[in-house]
Order: sequence, then C-alpha cells, then structure tokens
Amino acid sequence: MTIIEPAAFEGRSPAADRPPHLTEPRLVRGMLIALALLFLGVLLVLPLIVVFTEALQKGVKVYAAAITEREALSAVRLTLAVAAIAVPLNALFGLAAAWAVTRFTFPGKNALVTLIDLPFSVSPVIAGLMIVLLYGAHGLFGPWLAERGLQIVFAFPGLVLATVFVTFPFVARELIPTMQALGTAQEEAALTLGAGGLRIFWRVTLPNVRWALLYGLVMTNARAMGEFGAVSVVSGHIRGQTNTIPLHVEILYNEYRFTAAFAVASLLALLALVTLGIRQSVERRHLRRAGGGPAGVLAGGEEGG
Amino acid sequence: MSVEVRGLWKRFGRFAAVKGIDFAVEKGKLVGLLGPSGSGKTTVLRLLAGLEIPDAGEIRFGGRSVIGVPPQKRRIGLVFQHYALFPHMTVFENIAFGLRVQKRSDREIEARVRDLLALVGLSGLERRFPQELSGGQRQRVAFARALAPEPELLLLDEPFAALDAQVRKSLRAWLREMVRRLGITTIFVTHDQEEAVEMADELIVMNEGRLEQQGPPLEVYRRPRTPFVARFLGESIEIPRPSTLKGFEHVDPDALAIVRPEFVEVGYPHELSNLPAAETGIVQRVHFRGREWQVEVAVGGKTLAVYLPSEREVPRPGDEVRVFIRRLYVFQGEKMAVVENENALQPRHPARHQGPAADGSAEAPRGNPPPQASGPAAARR
Ligand SMILES: Nc1ncnc2c1ncn2[C@@H]1O[C@H](COP(=O)(O)OP(=O)(O)OP(=O)(O)O)[C@@H](O)[C@H]1O
Ligand SMILES: [Mg+2]
Repeated sequence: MTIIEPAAFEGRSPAADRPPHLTEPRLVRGMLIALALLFLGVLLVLPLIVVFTEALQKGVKVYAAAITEREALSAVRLTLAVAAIAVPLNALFGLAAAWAVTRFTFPGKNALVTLIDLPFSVSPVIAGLMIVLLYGAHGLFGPWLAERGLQIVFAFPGLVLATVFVTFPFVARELIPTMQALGTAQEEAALTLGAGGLRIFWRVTLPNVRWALLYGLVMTNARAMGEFGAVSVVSGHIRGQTNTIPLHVEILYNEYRFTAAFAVASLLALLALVTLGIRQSVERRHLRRAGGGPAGVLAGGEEGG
Repeated sequence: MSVEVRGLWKRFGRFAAVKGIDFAVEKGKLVGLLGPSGSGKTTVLRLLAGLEIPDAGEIRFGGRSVIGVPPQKRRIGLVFQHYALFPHMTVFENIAFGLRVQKRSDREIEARVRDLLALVGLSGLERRFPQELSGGQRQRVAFARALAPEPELLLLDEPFAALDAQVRKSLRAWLREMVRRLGITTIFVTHDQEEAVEMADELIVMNEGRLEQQGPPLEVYRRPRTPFVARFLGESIEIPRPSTLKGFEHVDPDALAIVRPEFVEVGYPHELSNLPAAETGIVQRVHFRGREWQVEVAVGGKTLAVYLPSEREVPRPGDEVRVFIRRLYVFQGEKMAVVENENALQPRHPARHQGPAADGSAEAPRGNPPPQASGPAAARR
C-alpha cells in the first residue's frame, strides 16, 4: 500500500529522539531546564510545602480542630454549595454558547465570542462591584428587590452570581475550538440517518466533546472554589454565613491564627492538587482517544491503514 | 426512487454555487456527478440531501416535491468524503445508528447489521472502532451505515477521494456491483473522470454551477455538447483555424475545433495508409507511459499528443513524421459537430495506434469507435 500515514510523522513527540544537530547545545539545554525548575520550585512547590508544614506545625490535632471548627465547616459547606450551583450553570451556558457559535451564523457572533472572554479580562473585584452596583441596597435593582424582601448582595445569591460570572468562560472556551475542529459532518450524517436534534446532541456531539467538557468543568470548579476577589466584594464577610473557604482563610490570617489559616488553606491546596491530577488524566485521554478533542478527531479522521 | 431537479439555484451570500440546474435520474440508475473542483457538485448533493435549502427551484423524489422536507424524512443515505463515522461507536453501533433511530427491536437490528457487514465484507470487525480500520474499511462502514435504514436514494460525495489508487480501483468495481445488486438509485460525486466513466450508467457534467451535459458516459465522451465537456472528458487539444488542415478545408475557419489523441494517426510515411491526406509534423517529445508511448508532434504551430503501443517502433524527437487527423469536434455557437476528414479512405482500416492510455486517464470507449455517420453538415460553410 502506498498510503502515507501523516500520523506516523506528526504523532511523534518532538522532544523524543531528535537528532543532536537539530537540538540546542548541552549547556543551553541544561540552563533552560534549570531555570524552569527553579521557577517552578520557588513559585509553586515551595509555597505548597510551606502551606502544609505550617498547617501541620502544631500537630494533627490542632490541624483537625482548625478544619472542623464550626465556622470552617460552614465555609466549606458554603463553598461546596456555590460550586454545586455555579458549575452546572456554566456547563449549560458553555454548551449553549459553543453550540451557537460553532453551529450557526448570526449577526453579532464575533461580539459574542469576545464577550465570553470578558470575565477573564475584567478584574474580579470590578465584577464584584458590578453586582453590588446592580443589586446592592443603593443599586439599580436594589429598591425593587428590597420591596420583595429579596437579598442578593451580602447573601448566598450574590456569591453564586459573582462565582458564575468569574468562571463562565472556562467551559465555552474549551468547547468552542473542539467543536470547530469537529465540524458538522458527523451531525449531518446523523441527520440523514433520521436522528432528531436531541439524539444528535446526546449521541453524537456530546460524546465527541466529552473530554473537553470535563476539562472545562474541572477548571470551572477549581476556580469557583478558589475565587477570592469578586466573592470578597459581595460577601459582606458574615462569619458562619457568607464566608467561603478563601474568605475564611483571610479572616483567620488577619487574626494572626496562622496555623488555622494554613490548615484551612491546605484544603484549597489539596483541591488544587486533585484538580491537577484529574486534569492530567483528562488531558491524556483527550489526546489518546480519537474523538476526544481536536487532536484526536484529526488523527482519527486521517490515519489510514 | 426517481429524482427530478428543475431550475435549482443556490447562493452563498452573493456567490451563486448552483445556477439553475435541471436534470432527471431514473429509478435504479447509478449516476456520476462530474465536474472540476468548485463546480458545485457537493452543493447539489447537499441540496438533494436537504442539508442546504435551495433559493429557487424544485426537487422531486419519486414525483413528490421534497422542498421543505427535512433530511430525516427524505429517505436518503449519504456517504461523506471523509466518511464522518462516529469515532466513539463501534462498527456495529455506527451501522446500527439509523436503525436505533427507527426504534427497531434489538433482534432486528442485530440481524440487519450482520447482513450489512456481510454485504460490505466486514464480518468479524463489528467490535472495532473506526480509528482501528483502514481507509477502505472505513469507507465500507460508511456505506453500510448509509444503507442500514433502507434509503431509496444513495448519495456519495467523492467516495474514494481519500483512498490510494489500488484500493480505489477495487472498491469502485465493488461499489458498482453492490449498487446494481441492490437496485438503489445512486448519485455519486467525483472529479475523477475515469471513475465517473467506469462506474456510472449516466454522467452529469457540471461546470461553474451549471449543468453542461447529461447522458451515458459513451455518449458524453463521443458527442460532447460543449467545448468544456470535450476538454474535461478525455484528452483534447484545441485547433485554431481548423480549415487550414488537410481534409478539413470545408470547416468554418472561425469555429473552435478540438481534436482527441485517438483521432490522430502518426507514423513514418510507409506506416500510414492515408498518406495523401496527412500533414507533416516534427516529433517534439516521446514519453514512455508503460503500456504505450505518448508522442508529442508539432503540426502547423500546434502540438498534438498521440499514443502508440509500446511494442511499436517509436519515432524519435526531431523526426519528421506524417500526421493524419481523422476527425475533429467543431463547435460553433451552441452547435457541436463531429467532422470527419474528407480525404479519408473508405472504408478505413482499423487505426493501429489506438488503445487505452496507460494511466487510463484519457479514454472512455475502448477499442475503435465505429465510423461516425453523424453531422458534419452542421459545421459546413
Ligand atoms: N457554505 C458555503 N459558503 C460559501 N460558499 C460555499 C459554501 N459551500 C460551497 N461554497 C462555494 O460554492 C462553490 C461550489 O462548492 P462545492 O463544494 O459544491 O464544489 P465541488 O464541486 O464539490 O468542489 P470539490 O470538487 O472541490 O469538492 C465553491 O466555489 C465554494 O467555494
Ligand atoms: Mg465537493
């Protein structure tokens, strides 16, 4: 057979078995690697170690006490509740946005794509202020809400709103390029086979983007639980009521209760590590499995036998 | 299911991809939709499938208009150029997809998928995923998947474009057999004229969104209706001022004449029977093409290509040879005429140089076409 398999050439890792004349001199390589490791060590590994050693400095008992204290538990509960609402909402929004952007042409499409990224370019504090200005006591909808006895700012709904706003680009940003690369051929094939819109979504589109979606969700969740700025503005810092984990850490820290602060912070650090782990494995599957992401789709479509 | 298309238009923004096309396809026919890249073939196919909505015109399946009927209800099977198999489903599930939509029972689905797998020769591979198949195997899965819901019209967009030459050849024959056996009306798109000519009962030749000609391959090849078709199908060379050629003095000098390699005989004087009517030419280049030689000869400022069997003595570049042009296509306005050389000896004995080109790209009729009795009068002054 004369088929030339593009995958055979492109699939090779660029770093592996690169002939010496194509790569940098040993010294340069060593320096680059050392620099990268130093950077990582100072900025990531060291802080992580500090967090855990500080947290466990006074023994496991104190650590356990710090994270099972009433206010700490309520902060954990609140954070979980906020994430439990924000993540599904953004999954829905991200899917809808990605679908609209990649499957339809409509006026203002480019504007929509830019707007999706807005939360990333706006400082979270501004995002929080926006919510206060809209829904706060002196805000635009403040009086209207007050009349009906609804409180948004300094209450749970405000926290959710702020978190949703800050995290909404993750899913859409992950899905849009994946769905663009996927193209519409499979969906059209399903259409000619008689399938309706819902079946096409569940059976054809979603399985094709599931890894990208999961990846987006993991990132959304990590950010939702760790968000500080926007949440800080709208929370009001009512202990045991509107304090999420990051806010609780700050309060403890300001009260010079360092061990407790680090103990609670270690929960977030653990979350980060778990997120990283999931991310890693998702990414690996994403790449390996055809249909998982853009790379997989292309490889699946082109390689011949 | 018969297909009828009338005055079909499709615009993308200001660009018209399909410009008022009419054609009809009889039930059970295998039709090749042929044309250069960008001529609108895929667009026509997508219009038939209901994936694009026409701006104007009528599409009828079995006499009934399908304008406004969604793709799901058109009873068509569509095979995409890159197959568009579902990568997360096994071969079995890919083929079963259309059956599950129809809510058939598991037993029925199982049986039908097995039958289809046997039909396309992939029994035993049902648990594989598409990315674990070769290109040709994927192609057949796509074919089986399209056939599963028992469509009445099969649409294939460049079904073999992504395959290498060997696989392509064998699949071509296989597909033709399959379609004949099933008796399903089939329209396939290709820009490969060899593929079209070899497979199709009928050709539809498109260019720039217009239909140039429809008919059986042999007829389209022998009697191209437009200069475009003459150029696109088979090899052809334009002859300006055809009346300067021996034997064609009666042709309007302003008409466009086209000659095919098989209309030309080339040889040393002792080899040609029509010596008095032959022009003199100089051999420019000789290429070995496997089964034959391609010889380029300059005659009166024009370079003609002819093919000689490879076992024959071949002239060398620079040699003076005799060139007898037996026949021309003459286009004048809307009219096309096949004009025979007036000085041809009657009856002509079979030309020796004829034969299929080694790459098979050039010719439709194999062997010698019978003398044409048709229409030189049309082009006479
Ligand atoms: N969705 C679209 N939007 C804009 N222009 C389009 C679209 N689809 C097709 N066209 C244009 O319409 C023309 C015909 O396209 P089409 O895909 O039908 O060509 P084709 O004959 O199938 O070509 P090929 O052999 O290269 O596949 C092309 O010029 C193409 O650029
Ligand atoms: Mg095409």
